[in-house]
Amino acid sequence: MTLQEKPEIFTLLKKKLSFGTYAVRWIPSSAKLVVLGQHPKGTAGLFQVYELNEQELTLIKERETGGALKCGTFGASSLNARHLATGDFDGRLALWDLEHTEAPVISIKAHSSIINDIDGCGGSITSSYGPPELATASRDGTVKIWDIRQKNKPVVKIDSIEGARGPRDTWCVAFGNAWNNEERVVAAGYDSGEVKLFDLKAMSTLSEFKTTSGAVSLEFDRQYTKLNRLTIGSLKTLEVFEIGNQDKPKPLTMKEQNDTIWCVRHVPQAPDLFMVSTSSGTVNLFQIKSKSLKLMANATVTEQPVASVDWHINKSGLSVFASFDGTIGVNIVTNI
Amino acid sequence: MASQKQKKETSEVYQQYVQNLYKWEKEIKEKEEKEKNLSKDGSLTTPTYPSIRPSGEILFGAAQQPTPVSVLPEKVSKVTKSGTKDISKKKPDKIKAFDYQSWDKFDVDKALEESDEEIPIKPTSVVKSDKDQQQTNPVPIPSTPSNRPTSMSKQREPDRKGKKTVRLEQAFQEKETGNAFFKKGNYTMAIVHYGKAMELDPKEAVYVINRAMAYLKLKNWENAEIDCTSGLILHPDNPKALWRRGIARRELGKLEEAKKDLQDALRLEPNDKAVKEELDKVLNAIESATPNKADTAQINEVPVPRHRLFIEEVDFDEDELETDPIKVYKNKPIENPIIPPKKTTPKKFGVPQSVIEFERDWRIQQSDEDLYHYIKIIPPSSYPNLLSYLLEADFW
Repeated sequence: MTLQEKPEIFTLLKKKLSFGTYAVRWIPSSAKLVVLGQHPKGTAGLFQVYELNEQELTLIKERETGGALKCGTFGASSLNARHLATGDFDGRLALWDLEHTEAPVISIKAHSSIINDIDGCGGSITSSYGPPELATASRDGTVKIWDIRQKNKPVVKIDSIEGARGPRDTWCVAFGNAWNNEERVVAAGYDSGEVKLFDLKAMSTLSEFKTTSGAVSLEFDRQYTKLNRLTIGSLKTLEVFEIGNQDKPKPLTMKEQNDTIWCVRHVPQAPDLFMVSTSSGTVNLFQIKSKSLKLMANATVTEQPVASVDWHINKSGLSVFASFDGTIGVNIVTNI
Repeated sequence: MASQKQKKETSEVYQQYVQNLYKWEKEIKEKEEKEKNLSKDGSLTTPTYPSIRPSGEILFGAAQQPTPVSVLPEKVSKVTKSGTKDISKKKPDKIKAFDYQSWDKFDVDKALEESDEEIPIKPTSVVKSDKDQQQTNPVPIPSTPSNRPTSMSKQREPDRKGKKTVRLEQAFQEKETGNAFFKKGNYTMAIVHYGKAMELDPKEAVYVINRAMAYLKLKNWENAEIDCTSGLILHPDNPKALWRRGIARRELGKLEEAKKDLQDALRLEPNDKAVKEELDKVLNAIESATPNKADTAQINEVPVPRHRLFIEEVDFDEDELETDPIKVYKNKPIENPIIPPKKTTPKKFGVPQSVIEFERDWRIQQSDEDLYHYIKIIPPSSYPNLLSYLLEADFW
């Protein structure tokens, strides 16, 4: 980032789709994106693939699925395959080859309840170490780790936390510390605000701490480096923790928000920058600098909560967003 | 919105970005096309990933118990060791069969570890959807156990759980087999299988103690005593082991020791009638033995009614003990007819040509005799065809 110019967020284009959208992802090594959501008729799911042509989005492909799709990731897939892993409202985990959408590559009844969040690791798109795994976080309270080569059962099952009225919902999940073939950490955020880190190599809980309100979205600053920072967006706050070498994660900085943070996404090309999307329809770019948060730029993009944002790993500054009412758009963030 | 437009127009940086964006779009689309064509003719290979993580569960609080499939520290450290050598990327050359010198230097354990790492190359080609013809997987299956000396091939299943958990599960299976034989009264075979279970899992007391009981049934007191002792080493103060050893020792004439064992067992299980009974027998035996201390022959003849070595076993963790397994299964087809037989006269049946016919005809049979006749008319050569689908309890 140049020191002279401040980053700015420009909306390249916006498009209103006819269905409720929950997640949007760039397809790596392409100018395409995939939007996941609920089919306008009934509870089925729908995903659409669009291609960016200059300043227009053209619909390339679409497919109806069994259940409304809540989340998706390419993280566990190789650069050649670029399979999309999706989690839906019925607890189904599916892996799709977007070139051949006649049937999913894999379809598993992963959870008994909605899969709230999904993350992938080891697929050689983001990280090139370790087995290709997916982590699913569900309302049934468990987090399950799946290897895409083993369909019949999860590789790891992380128990649910018992709350006063049943197991706590897991709202978000993220992989981290994948800096070699063996090491891997999974962070899970719960509706109670608890956040737990699990070491998959040692198969044990690494640490646990609490944020002020339910953790909606979390992400490590980098998936494939040693544990450094974890950014958590919650119902009322944006919090950043330093994990690093110490036993207990240290809260680095916190910002109170008036509105819920729906999605936290670090900029792949600049680890100290991340975007958060809020329930008031804004996207905000923050920078972590010497233990404090600095709002670098923001923009109001819709009137509904922005459910999902994603950065393109091949083009710095190119991001996409989707809000619950079906509005999707491409943002350009300059000077990052 | 107007201000956004203005903002865009006035920002040079933005304009530049957009121009670059158009260029980038073109480039990446071309690149994508190229990759697509490459993958069509199969020149792209799937990446070689490390093996699937050994299964495990992460539980919270006091609930943390090792389950049969939980990862064991030894396995994890093994993976670490070989992982850093980056074995998954390397394929060692096969040693020729006649190259004795290389075989002499061959390190079995290392090779097993390597096999563990390499095996996932096979499943990668299986996981890919059938419809996906893009990526043919010309990955050669790495030197599998069949190339290695046969002594290793026994336990080298390409499973995902790790060697140790496979052994433990196999041990459990052997125990179950042993239990089944025990129930049928085939104590010799039970002993064989308990023995196998012990080999696979030498740390589990249950297998040894079960074998001890089988020995007792066969009146092999010496071996029973030995096994009980081994069981007690693994699991001290196991009341069943003490009780059985007490019986074995009594039969061997080691009355004082038998008394001690049974008293210990009683102390642990004060309400156990069977233990009390056996203890009483020992005490009687001691009493009747004391007037003739010198006469060892009499001691051996302990006048204990050996009517029931009453070892009704709860150890098996079986809920139901089917007394006559064969009878039970025979009755099943007649109890659940899919097509309720309307005619009372026995039907004439043709030779079944397919599984479906067989299944249907089987269910219609009204008596064991009919079944017998029916089976007789099926030529044995067609058994594999017909019956391969039907290896379920229903029919046996």
